[in-house]
Amino acid sequence: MAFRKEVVSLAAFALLVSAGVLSPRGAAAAPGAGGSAIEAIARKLADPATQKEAIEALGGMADPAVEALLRALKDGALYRSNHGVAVLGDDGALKDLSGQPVLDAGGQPVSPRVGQEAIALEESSFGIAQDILERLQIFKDDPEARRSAAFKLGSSRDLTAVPVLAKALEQEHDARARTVIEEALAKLRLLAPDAATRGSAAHALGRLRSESALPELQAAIGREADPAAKQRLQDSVRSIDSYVFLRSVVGYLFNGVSLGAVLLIMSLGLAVTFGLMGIINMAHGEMLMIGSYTAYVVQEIFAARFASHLDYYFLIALPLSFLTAGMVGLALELLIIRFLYGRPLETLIVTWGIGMIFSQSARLYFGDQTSVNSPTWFRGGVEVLRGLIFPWSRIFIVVLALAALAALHLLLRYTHAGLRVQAVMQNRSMAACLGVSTRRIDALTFALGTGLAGIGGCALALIGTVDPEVGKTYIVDAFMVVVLGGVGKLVGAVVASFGIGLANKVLEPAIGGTAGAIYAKVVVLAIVIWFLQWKPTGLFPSRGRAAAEAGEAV
Amino acid sequence: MPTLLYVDGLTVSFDGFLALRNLNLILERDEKIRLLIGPNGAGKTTLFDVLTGQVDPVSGRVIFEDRQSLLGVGRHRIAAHGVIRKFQTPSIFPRHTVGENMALSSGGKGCLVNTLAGTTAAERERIAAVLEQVGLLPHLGALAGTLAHGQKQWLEIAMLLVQSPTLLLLDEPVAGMSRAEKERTVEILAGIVEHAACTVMLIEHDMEFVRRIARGGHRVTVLHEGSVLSEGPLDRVQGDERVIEAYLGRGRVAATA
Amino acid sequence: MTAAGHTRTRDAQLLWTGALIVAFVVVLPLANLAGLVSDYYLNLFGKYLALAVLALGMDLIWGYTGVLSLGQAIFFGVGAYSIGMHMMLEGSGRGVYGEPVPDFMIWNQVYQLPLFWKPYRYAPFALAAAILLPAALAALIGLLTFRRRLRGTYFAILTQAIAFAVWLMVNRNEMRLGGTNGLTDFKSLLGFSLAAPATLRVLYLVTAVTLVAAFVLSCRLVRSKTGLVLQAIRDNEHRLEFLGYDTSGYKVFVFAISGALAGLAGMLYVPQVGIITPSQIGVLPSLEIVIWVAFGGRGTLWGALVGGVSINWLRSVLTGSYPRLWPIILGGLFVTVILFFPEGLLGVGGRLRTLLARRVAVASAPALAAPAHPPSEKV
Repeated sequence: MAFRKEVVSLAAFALLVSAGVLSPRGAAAAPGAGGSAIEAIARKLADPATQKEAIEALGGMADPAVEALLRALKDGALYRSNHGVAVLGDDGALKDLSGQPVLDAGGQPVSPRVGQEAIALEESSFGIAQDILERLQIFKDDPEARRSAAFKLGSSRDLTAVPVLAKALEQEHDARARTVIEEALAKLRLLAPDAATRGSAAHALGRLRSESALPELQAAIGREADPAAKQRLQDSVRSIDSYVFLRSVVGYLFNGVSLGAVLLIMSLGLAVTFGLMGIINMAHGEMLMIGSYTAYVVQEIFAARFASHLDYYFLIALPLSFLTAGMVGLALELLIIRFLYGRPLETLIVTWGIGMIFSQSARLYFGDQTSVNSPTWFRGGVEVLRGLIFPWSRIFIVVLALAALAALHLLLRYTHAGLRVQAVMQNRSMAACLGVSTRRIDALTFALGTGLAGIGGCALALIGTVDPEVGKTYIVDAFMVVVLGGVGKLVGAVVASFGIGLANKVLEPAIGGTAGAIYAKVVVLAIVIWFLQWKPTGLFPSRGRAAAEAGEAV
Repeated sequence: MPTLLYVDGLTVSFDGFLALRNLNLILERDEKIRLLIGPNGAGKTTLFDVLTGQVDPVSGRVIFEDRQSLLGVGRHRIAAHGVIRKFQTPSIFPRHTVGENMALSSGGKGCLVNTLAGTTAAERERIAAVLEQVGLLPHLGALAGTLAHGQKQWLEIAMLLVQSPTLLLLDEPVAGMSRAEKERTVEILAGIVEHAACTVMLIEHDMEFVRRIARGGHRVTVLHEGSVLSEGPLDRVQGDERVIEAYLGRGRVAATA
Repeated sequence: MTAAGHTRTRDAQLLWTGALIVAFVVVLPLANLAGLVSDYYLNLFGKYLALAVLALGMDLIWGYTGVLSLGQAIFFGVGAYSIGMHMMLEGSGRGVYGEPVPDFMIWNQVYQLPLFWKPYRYAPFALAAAILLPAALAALIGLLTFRRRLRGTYFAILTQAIAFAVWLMVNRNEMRLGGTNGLTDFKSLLGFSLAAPATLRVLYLVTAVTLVAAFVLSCRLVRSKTGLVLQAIRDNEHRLEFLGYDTSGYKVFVFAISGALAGLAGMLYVPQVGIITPSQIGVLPSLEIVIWVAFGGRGTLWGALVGGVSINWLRSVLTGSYPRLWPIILGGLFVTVILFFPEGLLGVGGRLRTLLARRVAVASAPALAAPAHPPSEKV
């Protein structure tokens, strides 16, 4: 890289300066200090008159060892020693700059004499010392610290930071930190006196897709005289802009898919109970709620008993939600719903009442707002494109929704049980004649539907709060998805949920503003309304009888 | 001579399956009754569906009374023009009384009229007369759902008659009836054919029943696989070899276009 | 039912209607004047009666015509907001241009009255708009949907979607309708202070009379031939078309009426309750209206009254006595009543009568006994 030359020349320059500054003192390098340039300059720190220059010189050296020295100075742990300066260690003994303890004539570790004062950091030098220390953060162990140090240097518009950055780049192994350092270097070089440098810096920024450099680039275009450099600047800006646009689009698409998955997982259960069975279950939202609360309870138990394995609560919560909601659904079916088949209106009212009971009971027992913490596995996300992070929790929901869908499909299509379910739903009397226990199938299918809702609720707990009103919030959307998709067909629910999700998330930025989400929802609703006019049986109308009859009979 | 119904080149397709192929049919105004027979799947009910606006043809024309196309016109408007249909299964309003069923069928059909005015005395008389004709007058106040199957069919016929139809489409009116009920229906229908001012188009399989209603001279149209196979007076058609073949399903019978 | 049965029911109906009129229009106000019934209680009843008008409209479109509208609360809202806007303007301070501007707008830095608010300064407009606007809206929705043969659940979901969208929009401050807080703090209506007990009494009376009038008119409607047609639409719309009826026209008609009634209800409701918020015009309130009518017994008009008044009354009572348990009690009530009496509360009476009649019949003549109820083919 072209920087190396500059680094070397600057370092040499610094060395010369410091040598020049130091030489009148001429004292021989103290034995044991290795004749290092730092040692030489360090001695100058002791003298207030030369301290400032010394500090600046140290800064220009871009050496990590400088950090310990300056920090000691700042912390008041730097003392004069026979041969120069020494740092006060935690054990009270003095160490020289290479970390060796300072020994007295008898070979014993030396401590500061009583009353000896540390070398004071002059006020006028305080700022510089601070800056240099910050700069030197770039050599710290923690990559995060290095990244933020590099970023700060990049934004500092201080060309003297270039050598430090360059040195850091050489040593840097962490890929992300490298990017930040390169970016910082390029940003600084935009201010270089040489047009070619500026041009190549601009090009580098474009290559790095450095979004944060856009303002600098724009400013640079404004004052750039050299046409070649200007061209490169403009190219760079263009390339970064198109990248940002692409990234936004990918972001919206992901959000859309994510929302679609949420809708799907909410509606899958309803697609079974309403789409397949024709039961208008207004308590479906409360089934979701049951799933969410199951997750909450399991988490509480884990927090109390198995705190060390807290994250694993989720592995239990997910299947348990299915079972709990499924059991509740089964009980409902056996005790109440079975008497209401073929009477969708009554089912609507009764399930509404049941929903009220569940919702209020939850409120009384759990209080108004609880929340569930995602397991730490789901914290953070995967950075798909620079600057675009897909949260793990959302990815999980997409995977879960698709998995549930696949499982349901396989169950219905390829298992005996599923076959029986389909038979009963399509032609009840015939299935009964063939020996299928319609009662059992009904009960189990309903339980399956509510169980799916339970899973949905558990997943939703990851991304929202767990409160008694959750049911009412989601029921409208869920019904909309099932009806839009075409009652009776799973694929319809899938298409509808992802369609609505994507439409919502694509319209939201298009409409813009703080209320973008709301208006987007309204527009999507309007589209659904319009669509239902044109195709009232939904996207994939089924030839099944149950739901169609339910639709007519209410 | 002005025609009552002019069907020209009617083709109906259900997802590729041609239920009607280039069907041609003409009903004269002075015809009392036209019989429509043919094996199952020949397209008889489909023809009725087109006439009443339930099914849209792919091509063809249907002209009613030489002036009104029946295609693309709303169902209720077709009925308002006088093309009335009786369905195979009785479709009456079971939760309403016989009288209410009749009231619904008669009189004006406009919304505001019916809100402000009710059934007039003249209408009530007519309803009574028609019910008398089908023998249901004693059951005026009974809920239609409580009637026997045959009675429901007669009620439906009464509901049709009270609308003063110009073209009455009957689709297997005696299906599912007992012997006694059939007798009564024969009387009613024969009476309609004789005295009523409408033309009847009748789909029926029961030839004995047909014989009781239609005279030898009445025309019969035989449909086969969506087109007219044979047409002519009842006597001649019954003896037609091709018709017999089509019914028995032996060999391939080509229909005349 | 025989013709004789019809007349008997008609007389009974007349009797009951008379009782209704007497009870609500005469007895209650007199009791209030006599001090037996508190002003507060009277006011509450005014609210219930207003909601009963709403239920009446619902019964017409749904109980009789069989069209489930899950958006009646929208029409209610239009009426409610209309009168609310008028009352706000009546009581507001002057704005920049000398016209009244409601306080909540001033707080939102809106100093000029938005255009659509302006006509509401005039009482006749507000009153007319409260009834005609929802009717027009309903007619529009009906025209757009009924002709396309949008039936059953799909119409229900559609109205639900519309309700949801409207609710979302009205909640926004940009709509200048008070946002989530709605409109409140009304001072007077038509010059009469809303704080004065006399005004509230009059409002009650007006509501009661309006309810009776709406009820009587609805009875006339359902007994007319149109009523017959509507019920036939509910039972077998398809068949009706073949009889020559333009069923979508009828449906638009009755939907518009139900919208008008809902708007009327809103107009009566708000001055008595003193506030209107978006939470009363969304999906959930619409569903509740369905519950009122079904609970009371749909398709009977009486059921709508009974259901509307009883559930709201129960709710007030329960919220007061059992603030933590009332949804459970109410929910439980829904479940049990409907499970055992699917025809709703009114069905309870009918069932009991049948049970008794059957007992008597079996006791006396074991042979015959035609079923008193028709075999129901559809719910």
